[in-house]
Amino acid sequence: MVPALKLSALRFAYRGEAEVVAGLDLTVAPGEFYALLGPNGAGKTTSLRLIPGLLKPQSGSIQVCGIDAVADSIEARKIIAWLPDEPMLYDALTPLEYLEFVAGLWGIDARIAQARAEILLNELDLWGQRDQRCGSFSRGMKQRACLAGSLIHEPRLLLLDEPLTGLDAAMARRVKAMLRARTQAGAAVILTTHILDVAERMADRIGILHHGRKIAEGNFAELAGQASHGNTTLEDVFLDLVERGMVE
Amino acid sequence: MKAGSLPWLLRFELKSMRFSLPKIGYLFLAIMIILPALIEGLWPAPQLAALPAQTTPLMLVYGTLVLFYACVINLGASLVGAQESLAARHDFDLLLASPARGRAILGARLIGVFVRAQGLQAMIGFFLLLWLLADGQLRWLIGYLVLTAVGFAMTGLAVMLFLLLSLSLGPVGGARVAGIVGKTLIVSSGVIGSQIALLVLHPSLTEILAKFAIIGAKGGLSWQGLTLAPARGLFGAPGPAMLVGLLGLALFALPARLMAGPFRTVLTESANLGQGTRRRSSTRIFTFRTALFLAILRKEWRCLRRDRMTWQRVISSILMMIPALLFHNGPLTPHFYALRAALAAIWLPGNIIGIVMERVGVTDEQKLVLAIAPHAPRTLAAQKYGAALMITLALVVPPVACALALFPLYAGAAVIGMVSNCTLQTLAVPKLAAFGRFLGFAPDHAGPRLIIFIFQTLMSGLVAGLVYVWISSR
Repeated sequence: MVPALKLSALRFAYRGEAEVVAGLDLTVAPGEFYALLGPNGAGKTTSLRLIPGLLKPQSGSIQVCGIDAVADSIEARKIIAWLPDEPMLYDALTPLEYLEFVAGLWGIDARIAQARAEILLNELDLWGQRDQRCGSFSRGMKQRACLAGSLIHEPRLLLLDEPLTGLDAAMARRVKAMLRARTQAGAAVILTTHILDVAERMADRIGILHHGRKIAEGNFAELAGQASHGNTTLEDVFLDLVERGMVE
Repeated sequence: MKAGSLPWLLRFELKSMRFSLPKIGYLFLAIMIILPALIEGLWPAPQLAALPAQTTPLMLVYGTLVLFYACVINLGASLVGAQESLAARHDFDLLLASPARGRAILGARLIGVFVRAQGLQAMIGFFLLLWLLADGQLRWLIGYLVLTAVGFAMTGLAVMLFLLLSLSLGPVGGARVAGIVGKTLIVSSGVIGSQIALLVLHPSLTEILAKFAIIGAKGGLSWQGLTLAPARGLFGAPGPAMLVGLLGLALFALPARLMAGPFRTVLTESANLGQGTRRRSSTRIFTFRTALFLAILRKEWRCLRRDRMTWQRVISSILMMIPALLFHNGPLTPHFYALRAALAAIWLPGNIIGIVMERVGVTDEQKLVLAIAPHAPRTLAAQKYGAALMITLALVVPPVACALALFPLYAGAAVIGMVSNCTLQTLAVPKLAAFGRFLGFAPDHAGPRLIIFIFQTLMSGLVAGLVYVWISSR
């Protein structure tokens, strides 16, 4: 089966600075929920930004559903969803207008886009605010509107950077259910989060980054096996592995 | 200094007014405003130089105009100050939860509003002082003291207005309207006041228009400093100065009491902007259009027409033209109207085109949305530029076509002016935007946008001046 994402020996450094991504290898299968963890500055966001071509890697390869994303990032972007940690919304637009614009960028048929927009806004409890400008939204509402925008073209690979920031408990649960439904439909989800509970409960596999390198990977049981004995929660396992990574 | 006292809090309030690029931009704006006044001060017009020491009826009229104008500009500056100090700062919760007295907190903040608002006025005052020193007429400085008292009064009035706006329109709407009204008053009042003053002083309409063209060519947004000068005629006596001063202080004290009392909740709500969760049901039918160009065009048009700065600039540009159209000493011939229409056609669309090119053609509020879209950057840039051109044509072609049918010569001149204005702006605005980005600012940051705005006004004025000279010579 062609993996949804395959990163091989990926390297990236901002100009004049140390490597942020240092030879990263990562493979995510279709329908898989993958959580990318790491301390601040570990290279999680930079790694995600490399995939749709927002940054150009110095070396290594990126395959998105079999497409060489380094050589042809435009083709890869057609099937990628990108949700940054700061919602990228136009304050002057309403959620419906924003979704229309995004659908236009992805070239979705107007009728299909309109139907999907209604479903997404209802799912994310924004239908009641469909004519309200995004500038007046709270952080959580902006995050939901932005999520709707990233899902309107029904992507096969979802790259979500801290998607649950600002969401209340009920809405966080709803978003998690939405993401789970997408993985069941065959899409792959890669998410970064500092809420370890989310990773522990939802992810099929967890990768831990440190200084741009993957220091551990596997499901929770496998990670616990790599950590010192006596660590019973993902938080303990994560801190133990990161500490060991720092020593190394 | 006792912790939590008014002076202690005021120290922090003033410290928070750090110098940033937007502030430098406003300073630049202030310098541009006073520059023509300074030039006029060094080489005074014969009418100004001949002002008598005693108050004459003409000077009384002029002084009243100055007072009115000072009220308007101070009100505008204070509204902006209120928006910046009372709504845009999010430390109210922290301050009001502290053991400091509410009256000290709000008093310090109110002084902060006043100081912010007076920044512009102080710059002008400095140059006015130089002018009066050079003139050897320091005794007329009492006039500036009166204007400072007017500033106090207007700060009080602006804060009360701000509170009322927040009450009636909600925290978000109130702050937004206060900002728009304030900035529009600042920019337009200077020009209106100065042009009225010029009309009083200069009997010849041709001279006024020539002056207007020269002001434009020099890049001056207004003759604010010049209009302050006759205050020396009206406010030479200390009696009225004391009266206005006392009234000003009373108006300043009233909102402090209101803020500490019944309007305290309104203030804290205003300071927590962005938490709006107002629900509104709608029955409007929204039909998607998702062809790439159409989607970009619709999005750009919506963002543009809902942009505060767009309307601020358009309203200011229109207001700047009004005095030249209303006041005249010559006959109302077709020539009179055609010439003004030609100048308006350069000035107003020149500014609008500049805004469209800057907001639509060159920059985007959310570059990431475009960066992630499955299109080459060049494709998207071309589509955006196409959208900018289309909006520009839609705005400019109908009035120009009408003018062309009625007055071919003037409309022709206007078209030439507009095209050169547009070309200059289109060439320069990307460079200015890139310079802003080079300095590390977001495209919609206030500082670079202000510099672009000043540049656009300068260009419009320069081209309008040149076209005026060209028409006059025919």
